[in-house]
Amino acid sequence: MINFEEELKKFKPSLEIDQAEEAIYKNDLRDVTDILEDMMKEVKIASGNKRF
Amino acid sequence: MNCIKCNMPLENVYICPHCGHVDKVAKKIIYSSNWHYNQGLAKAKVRDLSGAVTSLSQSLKYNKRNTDARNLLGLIYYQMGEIVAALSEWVISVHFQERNNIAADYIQAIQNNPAKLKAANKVIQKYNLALNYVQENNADLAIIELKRVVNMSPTYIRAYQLLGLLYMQRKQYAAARKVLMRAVKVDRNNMTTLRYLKEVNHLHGKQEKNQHGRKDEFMQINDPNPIVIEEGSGHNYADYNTGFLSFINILIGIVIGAAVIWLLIVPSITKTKASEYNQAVVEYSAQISERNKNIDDLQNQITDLQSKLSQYESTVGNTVDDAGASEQKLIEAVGSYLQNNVQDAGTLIAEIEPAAITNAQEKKIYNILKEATKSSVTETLYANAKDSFDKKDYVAAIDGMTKVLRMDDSYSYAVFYMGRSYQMLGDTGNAAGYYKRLIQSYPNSDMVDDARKYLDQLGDTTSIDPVDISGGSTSDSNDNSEDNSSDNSDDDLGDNTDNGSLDNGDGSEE
Repeated sequence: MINFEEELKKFKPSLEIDQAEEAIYKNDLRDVTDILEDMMKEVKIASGNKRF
Repeated sequence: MNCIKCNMPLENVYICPHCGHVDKVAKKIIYSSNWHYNQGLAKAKVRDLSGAVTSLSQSLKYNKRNTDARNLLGLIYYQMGEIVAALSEWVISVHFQERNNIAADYIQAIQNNPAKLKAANKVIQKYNLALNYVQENNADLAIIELKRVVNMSPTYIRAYQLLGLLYMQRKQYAAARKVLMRAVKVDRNNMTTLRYLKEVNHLHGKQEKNQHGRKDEFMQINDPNPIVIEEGSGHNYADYNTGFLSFINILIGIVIGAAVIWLLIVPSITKTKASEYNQAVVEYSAQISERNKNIDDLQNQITDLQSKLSQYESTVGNTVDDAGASEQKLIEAVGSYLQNNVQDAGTLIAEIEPAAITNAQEKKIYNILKEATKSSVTETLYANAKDSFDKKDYVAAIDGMTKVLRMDDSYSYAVFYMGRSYQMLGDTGNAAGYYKRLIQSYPNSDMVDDARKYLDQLGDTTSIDPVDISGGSTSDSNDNSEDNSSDNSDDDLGDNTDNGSLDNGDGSEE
């Protein structure tokens, strides 16, 4: 048995055309490669700190 | 990501284009991304749009530079009615790959058709408006707006879902099911749609069971707001409450109203007018008839007056003529008498109608001459008249007997032959009148028996009175009538020439 009030709350307004630019900027474009690069950077930083 | 050998960037490749080193990590990432893209493509081909979106999103999570996956994701968003999301994906796709990217064509196609873009934006605005109505607990207006939305954009999944949910909330399960089934046709494995549909099936089944005592799934019920899904080329959504159907209903109502007016009111008006017309015709006819009757009456009066006038003129003329002729004859009689021609004088006197003499002096002269000549001419006149009777000239006989009676109204034989002449001419009235005069005035006459006999032959004559034969005397000659009752019993019927037995009017016998 669904809860109509809760279900209705799940529906959000659609973005209009003039809001497309904002939507594009807010789009999360990070992929696995970006995550790996971030991890590698963190690893490098961590190893550099150990050397010093 | 850069090559671990030469530190050159690796963009969407796992083999370094500079040193040829194969990056295993990048290879796994790209393979994974491609695998999800293939999954998404397979799902999109069977219209599992939601599944395709999930797979393609996963693919882009592995490799954001997977242009094919991003372009396909944009297409699927476009198919689902999410125009802005589609445009976003295509713009990002072009950002990562400016050349040889079909996304640029997609964007160009949309930009070259501003009307379509405007219509798509209007659809989004209406959907948002419907959502506002829902938040304001105004479900009726929200449903109306959502119907318009799904009509304008038949693949707008979220609109179908919201509309179906509102129908479910209003317990219009058949309508909700139809809407959700339409959404399923667009997106087969949309979890939200399938969940709503399952709920509808469950509630609808319960309702059916409660109403019919058995569990018949999805039997059509009396839906107060029925929905028709058009299956034409446009795949538009519609129901009976569209503006066009309302217009048709109004048109049908107008036609029915006009028909009712034509069939019920117009005949009544026509009948009333016909009745008024007939009544007017009757009134005018009555007036015309009355006028005609008045005209006829006036014509009759004119005719009567003309008749009376002509009769009067005739009477006056005859009287004048008679008076003139009688006066002339009287003068001639006087002349003859002065010349001692008594016979001619008496004959002229006998021809004079006493009533035609109006002058007192002339009447006096007339009476003097009559007394002086009647003894001389009466028998002669009688003989002539009897001769005419014997010759069956009854008109001449009547004229002659009339002269006799003018000279001597007590001449019973003349009275008898007057009756006989009239009888022979078929004039029963005058015949009976003279017979009765004879019987009444001269009961001792020899002709009485014959008069009775002939009177009996005439039949019923009780209504006929005796003829007045005293007209032969004028008003100033009373001495002429004093002997009317004298007895003529001695008259000889068989011998008319025998005048010795005739009463001469003064009571003496000649």
